[in-house]
Amino acid sequence: MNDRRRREDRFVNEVLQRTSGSPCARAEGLLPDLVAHQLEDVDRQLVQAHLEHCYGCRQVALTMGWLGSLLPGLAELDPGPAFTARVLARTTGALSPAEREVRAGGTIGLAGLMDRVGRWWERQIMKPQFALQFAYAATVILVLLTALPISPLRGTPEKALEVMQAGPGSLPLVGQAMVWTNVRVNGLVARPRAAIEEQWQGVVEDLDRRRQRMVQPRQAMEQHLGEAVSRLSEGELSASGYALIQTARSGQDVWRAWWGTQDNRAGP
Amino acid sequence: MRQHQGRICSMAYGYVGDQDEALDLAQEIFVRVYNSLDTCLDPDRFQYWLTRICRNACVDHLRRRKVRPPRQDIPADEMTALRDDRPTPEEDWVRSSRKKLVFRAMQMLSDINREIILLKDIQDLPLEEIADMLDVPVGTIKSRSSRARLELAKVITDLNGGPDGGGLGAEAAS
Repeated sequence: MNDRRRREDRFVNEVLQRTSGSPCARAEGLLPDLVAHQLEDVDRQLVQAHLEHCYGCRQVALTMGWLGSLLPGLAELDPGPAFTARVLARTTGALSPAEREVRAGGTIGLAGLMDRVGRWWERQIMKPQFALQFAYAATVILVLLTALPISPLRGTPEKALEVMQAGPGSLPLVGQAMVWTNVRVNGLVARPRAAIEEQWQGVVEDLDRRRQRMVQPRQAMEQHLGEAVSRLSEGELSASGYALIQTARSGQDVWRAWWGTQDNRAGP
Repeated sequence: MRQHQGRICSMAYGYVGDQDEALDLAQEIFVRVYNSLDTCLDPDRFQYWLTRICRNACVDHLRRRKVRPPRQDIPADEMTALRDDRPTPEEDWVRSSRKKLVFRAMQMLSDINREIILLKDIQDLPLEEIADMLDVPVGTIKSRSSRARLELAKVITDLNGGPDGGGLGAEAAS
């Protein structure tokens, strides 16, 4: 009797447990196991019965279904071909000087300070607002420096205007500097011109010498060629051939005369 | 580097939700990895060490972003290069849209749920490593895992135009 009572109580509890509370909340709690096929038959039937009538839960269940197959496929994202090159550029020798310096612990001393200030200045001056404010402040400072009665630069703009109108040579120091510069420049220009002229003279003389050397062999070559043609016209082929050979030898003499080489031919 | 870059980029994308930002962050992560290679004492656990560095960098990045948020939010719908099989253009479109949707929805999860989805469901890391990384008991990861996925599914359903869903999830229940 007691056993039967206990079984009935357990049955009622299980039924109550599965059917009490918000049906959507209960179904949602079981959805992960439903998708993973890990639900007991009773629970599966209860959830499926709920899903048939609850559109919202059904959509969540459908989403969970395709999420299971989609998520592992998101493990990798192709960053494109340039990614590796960019990282390698930052981690190997292709570092920018600034990055190299940072990685090396920074330059020390005055040079490092100047470097850092320089980079800071480059960054700042590229900002339009900073550039405008800086230009405004610089103008005010310049005006104050040149207009205040106690300023040592007072009157400088007027002087500058006078110099511009009269030319820079009107200033004694600048005039001397210009004379000195002109002398130096003329000296520098004159030296190569003389050298070129000397070299050019040498070339002209060499050409003249070659021309002189070539006169005699050229005349001989013309003479032999004329003889070869005349013998050929008279039908004396052997004499014409001999004259042609002499013409060719004269041609060699012309060649040697141009280059100034010796005749090493043996025989008559 | 080529062996791991896809995974690191995906993790960064999962954390920050913007592709350009994720690629910049991934670049920083690899520079950080390069600079601290000597701290990887156990080469057999390189993967875990790398994932941990990636996770820390992403969390740092998100923390900095919270302090100084970007001027405008860029919707996380610009992902173009996820690796997958593409049988047909229609399936490709559905799959690609779902991926965008998932990464977008992940930005709306709680931090712990997002990390569990990322590390367990996407990267498939062992529970012990995830627990170690997140500094929570393994049991918590187990119990939270189902809830995280349920939360993600609900956010996706909402983003997808409510329960109607716009058709992206209509045919895929298993």
